[in-house]
Amino acid sequence: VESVFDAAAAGIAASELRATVVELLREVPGLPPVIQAVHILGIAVVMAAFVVPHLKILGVAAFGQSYREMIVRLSPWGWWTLGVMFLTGAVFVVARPFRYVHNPVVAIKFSCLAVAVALSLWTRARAARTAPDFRNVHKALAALSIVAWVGVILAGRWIAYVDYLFWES
Amino acid sequence: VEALWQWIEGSELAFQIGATWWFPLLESLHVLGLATLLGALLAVDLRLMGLTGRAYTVAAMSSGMVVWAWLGFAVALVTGVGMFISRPAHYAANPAFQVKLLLLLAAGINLAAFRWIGRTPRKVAGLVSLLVWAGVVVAGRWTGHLN
Repeated sequence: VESVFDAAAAGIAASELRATVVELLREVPGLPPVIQAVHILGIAVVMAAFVVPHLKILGVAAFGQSYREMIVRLSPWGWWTLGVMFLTGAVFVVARPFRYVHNPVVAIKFSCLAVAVALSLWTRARAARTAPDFRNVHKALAALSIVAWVGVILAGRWIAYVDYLFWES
Repeated sequence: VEALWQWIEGSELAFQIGATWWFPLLESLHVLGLATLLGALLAVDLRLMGLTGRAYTVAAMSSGMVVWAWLGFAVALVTGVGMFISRPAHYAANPAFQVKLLLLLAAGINLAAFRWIGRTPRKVAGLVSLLVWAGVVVAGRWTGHLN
């Protein structure tokens, strides 16, 4: 698997696209912080769209809203935002692919992301059937998905600080 | 003020934050805090503007949401102060950080004008809140790029 990622990184590194992206990031004033800020604003929308309904299942948020109405209203926000997150994140991966393929924190982040998205969808589908009454299993799943989303967010920030965690490498 | 910054920067706590994994820890919790703040605020602001969730009153939409915004703000404030004291003179002179503080002040004035002092129109209060907080995030991220 590692060689597949290495080959992909090598392909990106040699590409015309990478040259263009690196040039834009270098030449357009403020482009790196603005793209990163959009990525961070996306995290806030993910919170609103995926985490708040889970907090509602746990009975600690959004008391005045209906669970079923919420998930219908929030789903498009969640999916569109994940698309924006992919694009804004991809800019930096394309610019410096080797920084990411050998970074164990990236693996942690995307493992958390896979768990967070899968658990969120599953939880939603199960909880929507019995809403507004939630069973303990729904609450456990909601709590687990929140932990996974928090893991994605914290790991995302720690990608840049991998040396603090894996300093021997 | 310079003497105050120097005294803070020379403290053991400031040194520990700046020289160890404390700084990235605070920074990642800062992101978590601001995402909680803005995630909760987004629904309320959009409802104030009349753009989403019109099935609910503003009060129903805010119930159990505004408290999360304050919780997120508290986390972001504590972690933000923690990062600030690691290099106070540096941040105080950082133009992006100065803009961020001004925008935070604007967010506070907008909230006060809407909630406590006067009766700013809902749509204005919601729109200003969203724009100003987005600006806070941009200026905050920009702060880290100016060294």
